[in-house]
Amino acid sequence: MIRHKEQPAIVVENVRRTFHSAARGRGILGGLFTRSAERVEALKGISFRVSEGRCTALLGANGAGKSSLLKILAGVLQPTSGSVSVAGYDPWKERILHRRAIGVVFGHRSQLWWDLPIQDTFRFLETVYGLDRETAAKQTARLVDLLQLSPLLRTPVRELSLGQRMRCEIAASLLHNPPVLLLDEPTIGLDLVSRIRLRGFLRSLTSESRTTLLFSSHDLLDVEGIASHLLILDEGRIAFDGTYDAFRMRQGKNSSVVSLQLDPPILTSLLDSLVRLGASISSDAAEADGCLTFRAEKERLNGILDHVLATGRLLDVRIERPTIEDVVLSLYEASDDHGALRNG
Amino acid sequence: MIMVRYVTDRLRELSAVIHVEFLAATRYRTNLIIQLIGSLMTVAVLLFFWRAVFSARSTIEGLDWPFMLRYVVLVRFINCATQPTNIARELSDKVRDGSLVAQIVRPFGLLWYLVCRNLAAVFWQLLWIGSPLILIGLSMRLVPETPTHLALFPISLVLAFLINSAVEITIGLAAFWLRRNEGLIHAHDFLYSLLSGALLPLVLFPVPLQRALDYLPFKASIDVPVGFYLGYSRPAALLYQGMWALIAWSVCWLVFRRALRRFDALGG
Repeated sequence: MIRHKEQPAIVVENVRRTFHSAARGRGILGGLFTRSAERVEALKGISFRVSEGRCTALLGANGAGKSSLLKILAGVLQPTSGSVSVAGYDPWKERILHRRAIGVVFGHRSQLWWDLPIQDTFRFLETVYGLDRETAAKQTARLVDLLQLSPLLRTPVRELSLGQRMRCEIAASLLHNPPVLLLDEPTIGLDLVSRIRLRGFLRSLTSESRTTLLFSSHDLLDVEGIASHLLILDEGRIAFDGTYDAFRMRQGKNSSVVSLQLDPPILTSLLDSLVRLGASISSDAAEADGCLTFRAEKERLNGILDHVLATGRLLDVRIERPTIEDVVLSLYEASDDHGALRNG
Repeated sequence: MIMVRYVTDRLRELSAVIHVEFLAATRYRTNLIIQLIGSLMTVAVLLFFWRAVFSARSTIEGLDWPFMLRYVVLVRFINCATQPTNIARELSDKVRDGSLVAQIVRPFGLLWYLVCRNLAAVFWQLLWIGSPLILIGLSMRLVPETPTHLALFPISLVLAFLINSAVEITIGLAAFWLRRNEGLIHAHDFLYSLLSGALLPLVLFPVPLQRALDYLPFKASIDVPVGFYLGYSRPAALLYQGMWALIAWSVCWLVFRRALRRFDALGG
């Protein structure tokens, strides 16, 4: 169980995964006759590393390979080629050690006993992971407290709401305090309050217990709320791997949208000087009601606002940073231009 | 020392599965009671049937009413001690809806988990159906012919369980390829009850079929263990059972290895 401290928590090298799906003939009885296998490459040789204690969001359109990747890391799927190490263990060759080092939640599938209250599943896991009574009790108490599970402990899982169930699933995956937690769409179908709670919990998890967290999501707000790093898949390849800030920079989305309410009329001389200061103003930006909207780099904002203030004609100002949706969308649009993204 | 550790770890896992499955099974009291009544009812129905038969003729192929009485009670006991019910169906459902993944991500050998699941099912049956049958058997003074037979009977039961559980697991895992395998499950249920001796003693079948059954695994499940208790199985029958247990587990293991690589089929 001794791991080298400097070793990344997740190492993926040149992983490929090919699926064979059976294509059947047409018509009511078509399935009985024609059959042909279709090869689909879900992952086309990807490599990346995740260092210990980092929280990474896995993004990508439907069919980009997110679930396949998470299943490979969890040891459910075997890569067609390439090597994988999670917490220092090979998911297939060191199966049991690997399983002890990870916690997994698949948002679409429950790992709890449907008819039993969650505390029975906890007791089962406690025995399977071989936790001693005291450690297990302490960890259970901590998770019950953090995820507010105490009113749910005695309710059969089938009677829980989706949000309650998801909190239970996450608690069950963390009972053995694994160094690596893999979550496949943990916020799927949750209401706003449940989402926010879950984000808060995951954030505290990475900051307090140094758990390495890799999660996939379609809700980009999850990403902004929790993850420091992004891993974006597109058609089985890595489209981006790095920090969120680096991603903004790369996509040229480090600029903000500035709206100024000025005392009309807007003078051409003002527009010229703003352009000189770094504002990118489109031709129809100035409107009759005295509203002026333009984009500007973060570093240029100071100079521009100083200048506007000096004119003494500013009534109101609004500055918006682009949301993560804008940023990710710009990546998809860019790859769409190259015809790479089909399933968007 | 390592061996001891290994064994205690496996037993710990077994106890966890038994505990949680027993909890799940007791969750629905009505279902439990109906199951219990239903299974004892099949014994009653068979006994009424055979009593009607033997009131018309005192012997058939050398069988008489006292023999059939013992036979029916024993068959039911052996069935509940060695044949885990519904495991194949449960497993193929888990394969189809992908919930088997929950086991795969845990530090629990999957094949061992499936064996534990089979054992839990059999222990459950023994507790609820087996124990009343033992009382019935004792009240009938149903004891083995000789001490040797008494000693060989449990071994025969274990071998029958090994064969049955390997077959259940293999049929359940077949869902990886077949997707829907109800057909296979029904076919096996039918062949098992007809050809193992569960429904009627094999001596009542035509002789050519009886000879053919010597080369098939079915009678290892019921007929051979019954024979040990009633005294008509020879010790060599253990070899026949052992051979089929070996074959069943070899097939099961091969299917299991290949099934693990077929998880791709489960989308999402």
